[in-house]
Amino acid sequence: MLAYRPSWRKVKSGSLLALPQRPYSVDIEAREMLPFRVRLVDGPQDLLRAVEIRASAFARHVPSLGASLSEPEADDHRPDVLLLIVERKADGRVLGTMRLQPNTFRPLRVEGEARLPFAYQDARLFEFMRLGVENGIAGRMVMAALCKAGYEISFTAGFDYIFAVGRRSTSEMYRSMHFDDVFAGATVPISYAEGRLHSIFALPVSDADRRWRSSNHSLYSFMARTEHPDIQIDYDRVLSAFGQP
Amino acid sequence: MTAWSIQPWKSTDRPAKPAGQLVPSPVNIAQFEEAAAFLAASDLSHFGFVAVSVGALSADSARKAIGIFGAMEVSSRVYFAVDPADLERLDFSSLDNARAGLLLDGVESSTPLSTLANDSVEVVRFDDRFAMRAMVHLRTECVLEAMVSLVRNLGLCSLGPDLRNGARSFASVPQFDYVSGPITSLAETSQEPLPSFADTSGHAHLI
Repeated sequence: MLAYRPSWRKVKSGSLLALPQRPYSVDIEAREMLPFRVRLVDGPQDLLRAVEIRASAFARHVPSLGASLSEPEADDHRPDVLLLIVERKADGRVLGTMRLQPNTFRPLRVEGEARLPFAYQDARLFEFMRLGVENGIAGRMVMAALCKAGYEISFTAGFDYIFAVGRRSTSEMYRSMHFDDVFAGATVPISYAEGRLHSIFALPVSDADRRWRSSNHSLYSFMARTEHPDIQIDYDRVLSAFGQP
Repeated sequence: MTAWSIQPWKSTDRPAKPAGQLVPSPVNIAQFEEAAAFLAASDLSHFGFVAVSVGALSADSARKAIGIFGAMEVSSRVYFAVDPADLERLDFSSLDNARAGLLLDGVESSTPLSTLANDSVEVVRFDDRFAMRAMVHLRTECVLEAMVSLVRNLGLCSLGPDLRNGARSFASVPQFDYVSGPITSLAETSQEPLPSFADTSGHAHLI
């Protein structure tokens, strides 16, 4: 097993915690506190806590997959991969996690499952992986905060597309967020999900704001018009892991 | 001199720290400094967080409570327990969110859902009688289930009585994140008048 990369401080002095450039076409209209914080996983203890919630979230749907995810995966330790973690302010309990995996140095995991259409060749791709939320679909605010952080990170690091794979239940979520169904309804067996059939989705980062805004998507107000100081991303780390756009 | 102590609330999660409640409770305005001194001198690190009930607040007493408790350097997050009416009426924006937060106290069937969704609320404590009533009254159970679902959707932390033993719910028994202790007498609760959700004004009773 690879060693986890050197630990980073949770709040580094002088770290770039503010979003360098907002990816939205509208101004902030409100500032809203959240009952939890979103940040990058920081060190082996954090990683284990994220893995625990991931395993329990996947176990709810596919018990055997949950069991196989009870330990960190090799990709969790890659220096070009970051994980998000959501912690409740009251007691630090982990409510959710997501892995952010680019194709900077090696293809996305999903590229090993199916040959992507030409439009995605030679593009900077970024995969939302292992999205796990404590209360599943019911953990809606946590899910939204993870998606907001993931999207803003993908924009800041200059990625072209966000990829995600979805079972039937989560596919609805990606469709509603205006991801494109890459294979137009066809599903693909995903080896890192026990060969289960999944749809593959892609969202062009540069067009996301227009899609959400023009459809008056319920997430848009949360993402674009509202400032969330509890989403605390260390953008020095983001740019170090993913490179400058 | 008050004999302060911290009453634990058991976590229903895997091995996890308990939450704490400063007692005696509520703390009145004349006791704020003494209570704060007790908390500051206590090792709170073995509590996930500590709740302080300050009773019914005026604007002045709210400012004083925030000034005194909000400025404490303690090893655990401190929550002011406020009731839904005070939350709507008073301004808590000066609370330093890095150290302290608000606990919405005494949530029951007539609490507006919009109050639970107030972005300054991080913890919700369900009224014991409401939660116990939900175990013997189907409509109340539906209300509680909807509220617990909302709390989870919002990512809030919940406190309430331990309903896991003795309750005979139609569906699954709601589980709060922290529980005060097992319910004592459902039979006694069932003798109380049933809540009425009818509203002659024609407005929904719950919102």
